[in-house]
Amino acid sequence: MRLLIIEDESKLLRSILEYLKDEEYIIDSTGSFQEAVDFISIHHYDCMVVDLMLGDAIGTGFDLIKTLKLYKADTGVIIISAKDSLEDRITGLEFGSDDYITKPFHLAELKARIRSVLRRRFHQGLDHVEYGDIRLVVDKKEVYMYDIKQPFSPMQFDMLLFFVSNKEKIITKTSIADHLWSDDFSFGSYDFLYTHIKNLRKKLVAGGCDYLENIYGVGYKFEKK
Amino acid sequence: MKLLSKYYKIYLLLTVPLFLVVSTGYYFLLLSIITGKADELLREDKAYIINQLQSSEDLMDVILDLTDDYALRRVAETLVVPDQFSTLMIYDPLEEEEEPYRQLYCTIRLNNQQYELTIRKSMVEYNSIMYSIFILGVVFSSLLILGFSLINRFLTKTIWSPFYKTITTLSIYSPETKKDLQLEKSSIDEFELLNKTVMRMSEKIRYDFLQQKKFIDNVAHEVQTPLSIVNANIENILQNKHLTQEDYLSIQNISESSTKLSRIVKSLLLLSRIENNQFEQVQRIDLVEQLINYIDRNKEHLENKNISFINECHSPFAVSMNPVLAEILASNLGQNAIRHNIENGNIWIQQGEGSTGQKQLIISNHGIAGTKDPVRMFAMFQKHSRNPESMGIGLSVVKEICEAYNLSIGYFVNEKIHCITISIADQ
Repeated sequence: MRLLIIEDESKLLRSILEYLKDEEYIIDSTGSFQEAVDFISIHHYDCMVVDLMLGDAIGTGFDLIKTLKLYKADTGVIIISAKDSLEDRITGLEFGSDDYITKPFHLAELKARIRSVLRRRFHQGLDHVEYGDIRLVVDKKEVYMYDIKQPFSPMQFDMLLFFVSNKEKIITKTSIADHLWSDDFSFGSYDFLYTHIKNLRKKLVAGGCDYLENIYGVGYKFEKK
Repeated sequence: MKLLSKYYKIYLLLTVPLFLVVSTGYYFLLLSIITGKADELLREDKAYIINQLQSSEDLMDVILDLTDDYALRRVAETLVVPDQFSTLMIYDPLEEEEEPYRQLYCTIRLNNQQYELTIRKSMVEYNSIMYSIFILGVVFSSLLILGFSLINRFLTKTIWSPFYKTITTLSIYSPETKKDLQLEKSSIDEFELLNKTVMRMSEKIRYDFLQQKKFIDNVAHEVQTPLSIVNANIENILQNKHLTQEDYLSIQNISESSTKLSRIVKSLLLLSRIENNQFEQVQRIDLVEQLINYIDRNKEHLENKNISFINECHSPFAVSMNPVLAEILASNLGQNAIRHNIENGNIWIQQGEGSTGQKQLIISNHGIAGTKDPVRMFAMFQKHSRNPESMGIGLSVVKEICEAYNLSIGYFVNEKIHCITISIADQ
C-alpha cells in the first residue's frame, strides 16, 4: 500500500507519519503543492490524505484531487480541513474524495479512516478485518471469534472496529468518545463510555478474546497477549 | 414621564398661582379705582351742597335739589371733623337686601353755625360695572394663557421632533446589523451635535463589535492547527513503552484539556458561521422528527440512565431551516435533556400554544431543581449544572440557530422539570 500525505504544517505531518510508521505502508509526504503534483505524476497511490489549505498560493487541496483523478481515478482520498463546512464537503465528494476530517482531529481517527478507505478500495464486497482470533465483516457488521458468530450491537461493532483499526496502540478515551458520538454527543463525563467499554469487554471475554487493556485511566489498548 | 408632559406639569404649577395672584391684585386695583372715583363724586357733591346752602336762604330747597342721600345736622361749635370716607352696608327694603354705600362724613360751617354733613352714594351700579370688568379681564387673560400654551405645544412638538426621531431610530438599532446608524440631519445645532455624537459612538461600538467577532473567528481558526498538533503529539507520546504512571496521568490531563479546547473552538466557529449566515439553504423540516431521530440514535445513553422518552406530539412541528442546523439544533436540545437528566427521569416532547396563540414545541426533562435565569441560561459559557465539563455553549448554539430563523426560545422550571420552548413567531 502506498500513501501520499500532503500537509503543510510540518509538525502535524511529522506526528501523522510517526503514528502511521508501524503500519506496512509506504508513505510519501510533502507540504508543498508542486512536490505533491510531482509525486502524483510519478507514483501510484492507494490513498491520498490532503489538507485543503496549503500555504503556498499555487493551488489548493481541491486542485490536487483534480490532478490526482486525472492520473488515477481509483485512489482513495481523505480531505483534512480546518473548515467544517458543508460546501467543502460536497465539493470534496464531487471531486471524488472518500472522506472529510476536520481539524483538530485524533490520529487514531485518521488512521481508522485511512484503513476504512483502503478496505473499501481493495476488498470489493469482501470487506472484512482480522486481528488475532477476531474477524469483523464490516458490511454486515458481524463479529466472529474463533469463527463463531457473536452478537454485537451496532455501537459495539463500531467501537471494536475502531480498536482493531488502531490495534496495539494506546488510544485515548476522548478519541473513542469523539469517534462514536462526535456529532451527536459532546460528553460531560465518561460514564457512558465506561458502560460501553465494560459491555464490550464482557463480550470479548465471553468469546475468548480478552484483548482490551485499560491503561491507567488515560485510554485503552487493543492487543493480543 | 414624557418630556412634554413634564413641561406642561411645571408650566401649570407655575401659571395657576401666578394667575391667582395677578387676578387678586387686579381685583383690588379695580376696587380702589372705583372707590377713588366715588370719593371724588362725594367731594363734588359736598362742594355743590355747600355752594347751594350758602347761596340759598331756605335749606329745604337745597335738600330737594339733591338726588343722593344726605343729612345735615347742627352740632356743637367746638366739633370740627375733616372729610372721612367709609364704605358701609345699608338695608334696602325695596330690594330686600343689604347694599353697599360710600359715605362722606364731615363738619361744615354755614352762617356761623357748625353742621355735620353726611353724604351717601349707592355703590350697586359701580360694583356691577366693576365685576363685569373684572370677569372680562379674567376671561381674556385665561384665553391668552390657553392660546400661549397651544402655541407652545405646537412649537415644542415641531422643535423636538428631530429629537424624537433620533430616539426612535436608536431604540431599534442594533450594532449587529450590517448597516451604519443613520440619523436625519437637523437644522437645530444642539440636536445636530447630539446626532453626530451618537453616530460617532455607535460607529465605534459597531466597529468594536465586529472586530471582536472577527477576533473570535480568527482565534478559533488559528487555534485549530496548533490544537491538532497537540492532540497528535499526545497520541504519539502515549505509544512510548517507557511511560510511568505519573506520565500517563499528565498525558490524560493534557488530552482532556485539549479535547475541551477543541470543542470550544468548534462551537465558536459554528456560532460565528450561524451569525454570518453561512447556512443559506433552507427547507421545511419537522423538528419533532429530528428530535425523535436524535433520541433514537442515542438510545444507549437513555438506557444508561434509565431515562424514558415520552412523545406526546401527534403532528409535525414544521419550520423553515437549514437541514444541517436543524440537526445541530435537535442534537443540542436532545443532549441537554439527556445530560441534565436524573436517574429514572423522563424526557417529554409536546406541542402547545404560546401566550399569543403561536405554535410551540416544548422539550422538557427531569433535572435537579435550581434557580436558572432564562437570560443567563442561553448565554455563552454559562455553566448550569454541577457537571464541571458542561460548558453551556450548546444552548447558546440553540439560541443562535433559533434567532437566525425567527423562532423564539423560552425556558422555565416547574418542580424539577425543566422545559425549553420553541415558538414560531408570528410573521
